[in-house]
Amino acid sequence: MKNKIILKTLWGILTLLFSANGLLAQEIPVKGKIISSDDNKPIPGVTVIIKGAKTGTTSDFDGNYSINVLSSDAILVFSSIGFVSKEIMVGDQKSINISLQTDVAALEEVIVVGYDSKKIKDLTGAIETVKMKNIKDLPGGNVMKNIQGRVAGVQVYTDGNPANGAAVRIRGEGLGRLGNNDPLYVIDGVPTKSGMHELNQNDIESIQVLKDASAASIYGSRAANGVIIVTTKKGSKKLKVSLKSSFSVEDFKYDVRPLNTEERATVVWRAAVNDGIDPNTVSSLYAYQWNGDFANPELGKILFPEYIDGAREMRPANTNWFDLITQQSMTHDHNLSVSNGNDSGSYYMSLGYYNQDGAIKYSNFERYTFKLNSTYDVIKDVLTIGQNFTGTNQSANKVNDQAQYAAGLAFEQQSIVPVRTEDGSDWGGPTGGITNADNPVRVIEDGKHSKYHFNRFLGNVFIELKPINKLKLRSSFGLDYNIFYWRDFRKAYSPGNLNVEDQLVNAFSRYGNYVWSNTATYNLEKGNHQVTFLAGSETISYQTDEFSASRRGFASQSPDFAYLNQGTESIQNGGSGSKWTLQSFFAKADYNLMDKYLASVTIRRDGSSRFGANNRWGNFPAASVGWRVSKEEFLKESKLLSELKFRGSWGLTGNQEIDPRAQYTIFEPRYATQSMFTFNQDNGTAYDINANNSGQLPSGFAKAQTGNPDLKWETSETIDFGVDFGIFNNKLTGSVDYYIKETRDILTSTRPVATEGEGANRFVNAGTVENRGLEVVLGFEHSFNIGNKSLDINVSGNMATLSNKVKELPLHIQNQFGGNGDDQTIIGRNVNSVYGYVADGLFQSQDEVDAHAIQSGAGPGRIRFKDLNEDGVVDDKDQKFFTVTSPDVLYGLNIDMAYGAFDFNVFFQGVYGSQAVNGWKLFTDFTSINAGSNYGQRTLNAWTPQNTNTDVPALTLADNNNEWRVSNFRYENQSYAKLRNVSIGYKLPESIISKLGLSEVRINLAGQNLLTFKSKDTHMQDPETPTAGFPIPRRLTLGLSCTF
Amino acid sequence: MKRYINKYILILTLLVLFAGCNDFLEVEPQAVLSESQVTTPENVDKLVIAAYSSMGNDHYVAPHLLWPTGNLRAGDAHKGGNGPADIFGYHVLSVFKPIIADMSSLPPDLLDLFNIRWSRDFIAISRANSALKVLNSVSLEQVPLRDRRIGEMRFVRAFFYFDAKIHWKRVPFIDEFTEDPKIVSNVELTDQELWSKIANDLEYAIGVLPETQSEIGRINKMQAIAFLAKVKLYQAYEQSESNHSVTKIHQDMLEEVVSLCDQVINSGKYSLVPDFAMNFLNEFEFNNEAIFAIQRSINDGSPDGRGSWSGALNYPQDAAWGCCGFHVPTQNFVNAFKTDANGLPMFDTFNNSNYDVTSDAVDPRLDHTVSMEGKPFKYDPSFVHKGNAWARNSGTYGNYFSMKELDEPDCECRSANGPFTISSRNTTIIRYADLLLWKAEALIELNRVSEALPIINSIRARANNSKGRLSNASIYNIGLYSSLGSQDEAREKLRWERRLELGLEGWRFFDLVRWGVAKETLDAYQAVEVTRTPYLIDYEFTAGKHEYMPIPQQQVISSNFLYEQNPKY
Repeated sequence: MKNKIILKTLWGILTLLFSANGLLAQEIPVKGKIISSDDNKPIPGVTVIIKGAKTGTTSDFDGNYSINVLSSDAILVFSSIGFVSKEIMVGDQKSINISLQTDVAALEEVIVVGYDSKKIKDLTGAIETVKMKNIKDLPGGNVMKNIQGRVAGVQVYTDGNPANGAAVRIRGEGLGRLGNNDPLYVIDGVPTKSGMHELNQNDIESIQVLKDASAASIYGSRAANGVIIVTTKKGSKKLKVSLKSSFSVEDFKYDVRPLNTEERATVVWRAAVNDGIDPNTVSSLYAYQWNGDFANPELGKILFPEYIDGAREMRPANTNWFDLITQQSMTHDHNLSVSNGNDSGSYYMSLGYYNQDGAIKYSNFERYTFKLNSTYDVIKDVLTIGQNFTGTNQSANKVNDQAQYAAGLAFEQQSIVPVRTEDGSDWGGPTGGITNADNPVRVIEDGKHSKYHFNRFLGNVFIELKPINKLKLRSSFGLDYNIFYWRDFRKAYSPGNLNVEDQLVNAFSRYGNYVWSNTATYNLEKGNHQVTFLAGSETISYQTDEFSASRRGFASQSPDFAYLNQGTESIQNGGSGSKWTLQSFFAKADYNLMDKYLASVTIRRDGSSRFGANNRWGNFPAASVGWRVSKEEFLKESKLLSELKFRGSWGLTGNQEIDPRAQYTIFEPRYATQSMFTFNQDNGTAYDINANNSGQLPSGFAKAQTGNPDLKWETSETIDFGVDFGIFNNKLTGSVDYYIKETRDILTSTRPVATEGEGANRFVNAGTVENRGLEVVLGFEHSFNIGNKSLDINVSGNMATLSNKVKELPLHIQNQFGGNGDDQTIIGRNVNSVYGYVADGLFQSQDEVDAHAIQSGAGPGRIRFKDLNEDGVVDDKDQKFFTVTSPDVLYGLNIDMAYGAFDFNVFFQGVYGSQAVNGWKLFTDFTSINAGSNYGQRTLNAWTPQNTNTDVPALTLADNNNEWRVSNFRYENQSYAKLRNVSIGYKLPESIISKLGLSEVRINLAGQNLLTFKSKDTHMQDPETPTAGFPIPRRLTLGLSCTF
Repeated sequence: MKRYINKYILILTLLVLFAGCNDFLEVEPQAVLSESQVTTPENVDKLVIAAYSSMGNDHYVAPHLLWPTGNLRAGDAHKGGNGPADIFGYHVLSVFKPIIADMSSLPPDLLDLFNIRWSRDFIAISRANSALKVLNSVSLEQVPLRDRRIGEMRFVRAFFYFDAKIHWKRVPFIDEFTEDPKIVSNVELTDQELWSKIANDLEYAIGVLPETQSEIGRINKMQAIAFLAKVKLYQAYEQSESNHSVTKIHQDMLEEVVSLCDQVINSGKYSLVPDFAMNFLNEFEFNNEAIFAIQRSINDGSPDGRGSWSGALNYPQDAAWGCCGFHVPTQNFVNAFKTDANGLPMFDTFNNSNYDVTSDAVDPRLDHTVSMEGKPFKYDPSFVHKGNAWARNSGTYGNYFSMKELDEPDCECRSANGPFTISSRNTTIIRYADLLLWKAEALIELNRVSEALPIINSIRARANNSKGRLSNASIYNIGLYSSLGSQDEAREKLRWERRLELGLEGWRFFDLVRWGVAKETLDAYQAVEVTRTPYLIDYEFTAGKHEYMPIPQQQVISSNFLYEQNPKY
């Protein structure tokens, strides 16, 4: 069946390409005038084409057109942006005058705004709609990844990891890493704070981003970081079957190049010579034949030992670890949907399958989704019931989590280490002179069988009753239920001198919430006055519990064998749980006077179990006004301005994202805590008081937290001024928003003085942060007539500035952002500011060292740090806030073109103004920070008295100058612009596909992330994902969609 | 009719809107114990155990085997590991100059080592105080062993105050009666007053503790007496508040040290074990020389074992263990074991040339203390140090290893944890030989030099008898002193003896500071050692500053600048 469809489709394409056309016939002239049905004024520039032919024309300034048709059954198509297209059969008419209706889609379009929907022209808050058609061709691992750069003021932090995580920031961050900055997602009315990668992008009808308080405050307590409303597709009135598939190949070239074996030996020799140390004493891996002259060193031959380890199992190799662990990867995305309906009901159903590999070998993410939405009118226009349901099953393996680690190891592990020992019986690994880093090939080979499985069920059932006209009662019961299962078998391994025992970890958790919302909506219309009242209540109850178990000592190291029962040693288990509830009441009134004057008032009252009885309830009011100036008499006649609206809003939103137990003082019977692979000591209470050396130990209690019953809501107050405009019949549209958002009583955790004892830490409301920004969105639409077809162009761009300022913060929290606690603090600065030293190039000579302030570890070729306080000594007082890691400006530019059956898309996105740590520099520029590791190619060009024109410090074996201290040497310009997408689509002609019983067939080819423009002084290969194990890949996608 | 319908609709609307019950927001917290559930007479022993547990809650970042702060700062050991950047905080301990109050700003690891130790000490103190609070409030009927437990807790508290005291000199003193610890400054008590507080806890403990406890890990009276002797010895050397120089040596306290040590000696419970090696072998874990040790365990139901993590980084880079090559003895330290024709230390010339295994005679304790190329590791002739192949970064630090804290690969005490090795062998904090040398030190400072002679000689004699397990090709020569000479000469011999006998056990730097000779000793060490290990070029010890660590900046800030920073930081 499937093959048949593909064959037919291919045949269709071929027919199209080779079919001849242009039969000669008698031409009939037709002419007429085109006017607007709104004001009966002529419309210039309307495209008039003959359907199915290549000829066409446009109307002149007075709306007149003339065209020749071939036969009386020709059909004329009149189209112009901003108007609804019209088709007219010519018949025996010689003159056809038509009036076109203004296209309501733009302004009359109804969007979901939270428990309700509204026409765009009536909006008074800052709400932006994602144009789903612009992202429909992109593989949909996580729809949020695809909105990067497409909504002003929204930034998406992600990487190329197939697990598809993405952090979304709307209008910047509050208290940065010490606070919660995630937006609230509302999926078909079910709110959630967890990620979006469980959703099938193809099922999404629309996404609205509520940015200001007046829009978001209807979600009150959880809306401080903005709200993203996702509405999934509803059933259609007639049968519609769609099949959509895409295949992508992804590639990333890691251009950080570690040294090969010979090169590293040379670099080590150079470092030893620089230090005045006999190079033949520094490593058991190399022996050098050199002239022994430290002043004018010359290296002859490098000799490698027969074996690099004492056990004589590993011969010197020249391993390229990066090549061994990376790959060109594939993604495929398939979706089948069926939708149907009649007068009394409809449904939409879909099945999705998504499978993505990553740039690190074996990394993989797989997802099945099932969607069913349906509605049914029990009593027409009075009683409707319905449901929305999404079920997903997804799995991913451990390599996704380990990719960062493996990529780091591919750099860290020396190339002299072979992948396997000489007899192939064991992994190659570190030995004397080599950092105790693992073998990256082992990491991914052993990690690939460890997987998680995750099921999420998300949906709701609702009932809608209209007991009288204009009153709508709705009750919806929603559920978000998640099940997570993880089985991780770590085989015993012993590469080189590493020796790690096996361990199986099994974990299971289930979590989620139900949400019951009830709303009543009432429309009142009297004369010029139009009021919509909405009132409602909502209850949410969340629960989670989880447990895990682990064992060691497995008789076989096969993952097929290693289940818990088979382990015999170190039997461990653990588990925990938590609960919280939220109860809310809300009301909204929207007022519209003569379509000119708009106002909206919202109040929401939330109670949360997370707060103590004293401050449990919070009120979140908001108000906004709008003035559609273009509807005023003095502008009504304007040819220039077709739409002009001023908006202003004010409101409060909240945040409650803290530990549900924050108000309680907590003691726990803490037997022991983890100490391996951490810098943390065991903080348990067990002690071998009986001196048995093993077995169950007596234990006690530890205090984990001090309660704070006075905790209250974190509150954001936002003021937003906006203007929306449309020029030349909305050919050029745009909106500008300026906002000031002040977040107060930020929920965070204290760092008490140690003498207060164990568990003195508590959650508090502390600090004030202000965000400001300007957001500009511009759109331009136009149709050109080229040849006999219209070329529709749609350009849209957005730009947003972000600024963040910490206004107030208690001392002990200030300290967590750097500074000296005195005159240099985070107060008055961006929360993402970095405090440290200022590197000022390299010392070129001993004279320069002597002339500089006293700097411990200084010397020719070493990094010079500025003596900021000019006290003659470079010490910890010579630090300042020297950069900011969050961007000042975000922008995106999208260009859509449609020409006949073809459509094109080009999309650029970028950020400007931030700096990021180039973590690879630790390897690329130094031999001393991680002495036993491999190094990068840049070390070959390090400073020597003979090679001074370089920014790579002199090589040394011991970093006495502390060159990896926090300084601008580690930071590089992160600004970038990326060509995110270039695509071309082609719709097969109706004449062909209709024969196949299809209503639409479209194929498209897209390239993503093809070009990156970055600052020339940045060494980061992808500034968007500095040092990520999974950089964002280049991607080529071939897609096909068929609608029956 | 319509009115009724409207009413009905209104009620329905309200019902829809205000559905939900009142106590919906009353959610029982999950997995929470309240203070009142915990602080009961029935639970008091659990609080006591939790405080004991703190002694085992150390880790290589702030170990109770004080190798980083006691040996790296003393010229006895290099940091080792991958290079200076591998736990940079340890590197700065070796060179002093870059030590700053805010260690959290030192990359690459940003490891606030001082704050970790400070916080751990005060968490432990708070656990002891929590137990004491409950113990003070219960009756003997409820808790028959109440007084004994109070003694144990006051010992534990003293243990942690001692740790804090020798690292920072002046710290806030918090006991179970302190109402608001937040407002207690670190300079509320003088140096001497703080010592007295610690002594006071131990004196109280001595009064209520029994001679023996059926549970070996519980503190007994002799341990408290021994610990008090140590506290008094430190207190006897009174230091200037402003520059740490020794301003006065309290003779009365030294008398007390002698009498306390005698109580332990005369109890007959303790003795020098016949072979020095037995102190560092798991099979003799519970020997007569170990007066007080932290109990360690493995395979105990905890995720990674409550073994000694103190030395987890210190193993050679050999597949038999894993990693990580930290705590590398210095050449100066090794040379100090060289002996002259009489088997006595070469006080003036030891460091003129490096120890040559083929020609130089040494004190046999060298081969118990330092593992070196070509020599058997830990008394096993078939397991020989493999030179640079064992070293992590021989170019910077050489390839010696500190051996006392390490166990042989096949020891049943050993537990492999990832690349780390931990051991259930207890961490000895007070060794009888140490106590004997306290007494000898006190006697010498009291100018009773002749009484000190037999003590030092008894230790040297035992060393001479400790060659049985050594199967090295080394030349051993150790002799007894016929006399200790003048008080000054005796002092030098005593101090040398401590360095050899207790080498790399973590006390050396604190000894130097107590004696007031840190600056001169370390400068002399660095002047020569820098030619062997160039990283020491950046060494600079500022007298009156580097004897103590800075109060962690985070604590200074969290105290709202109530704490006074140590001088010159």
